Amino acid sequence: MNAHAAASQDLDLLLGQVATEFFERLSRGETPQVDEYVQRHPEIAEMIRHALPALQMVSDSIADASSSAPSLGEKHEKRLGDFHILYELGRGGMGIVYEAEQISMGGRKVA
Amino acid sequence: MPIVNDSSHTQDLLNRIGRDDGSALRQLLEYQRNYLRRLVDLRMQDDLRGRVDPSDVVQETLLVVSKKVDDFLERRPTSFHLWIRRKALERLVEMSRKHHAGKRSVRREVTLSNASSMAVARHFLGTSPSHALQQQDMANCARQAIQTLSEIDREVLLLRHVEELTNMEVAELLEISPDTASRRYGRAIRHLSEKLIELGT
Repeated sequence: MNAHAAASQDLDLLLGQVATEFFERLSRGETPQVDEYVQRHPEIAEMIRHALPALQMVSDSIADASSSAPSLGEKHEKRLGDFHILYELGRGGMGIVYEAEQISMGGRKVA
Repeated sequence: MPIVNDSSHTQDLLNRIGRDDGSALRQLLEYQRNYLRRLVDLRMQDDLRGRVDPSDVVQETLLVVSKKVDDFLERRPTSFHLWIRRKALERLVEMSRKHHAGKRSVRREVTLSNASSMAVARHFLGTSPSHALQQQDMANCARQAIQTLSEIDREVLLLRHVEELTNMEVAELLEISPDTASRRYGRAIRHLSEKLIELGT
């Protein structure tokens, strides 16, 4: 590998690590600034400036999609009389076994 | 909230399941439901789309996970995140096999590339109303740029940003060192920035 290729591999590693740190901070609820990273790493400033906001849009749109989706799946949010069905535990010759909560018993678990 | 892989929350729930805390399993499955839904949407083979309800796949995966979680806790073969990912993908393969059984179809296996670039496109097109027009332009550019990346670049961005795997998890999945995984991620970002510059953002 020539010196040029080695140097560009080092920059790729740095860029990968910087982006990892940036998005880890975001996921912890912090508000890292792209400019802060642009100034700290002049050798990869252009890449940070262009790519990080674009990738942040991917993460944002996913977070939006997750929070707007019903947090409880449609399928298992079912009631059967006094029972709130949680999960299908299995299927057998006699029918389907669900895990459910008995509402009148304050959520007692039944199958 | 983005899913943090085997976050302290997941760890805590896994430990409680280990101590036979019945409600912990339910909480854990609920916590992973959004991730599984996104994964199934992303990775479902084209031949299953429109024929299989993704939420059924999610539900069946959760059922398998709830049955096998004790075994997972005993062996801890990988992170919980990667483990349930594998369980969901196994379900999809099984369903696809069932779908093709009894058919003389000689359709080529649908490559991941189609599914993944489409999925990325879908995620980008689904901009939230909170995004201003200017940001929507940017989202369009980003989508175009990502679609023109090589498969290997696009896949690593997908794993990190749509599936939200950590660098360590990508390294394990692709059987490469963490530094190599970082470098591959960095290279994909470099190529993305070059495409974005070309597109004039």
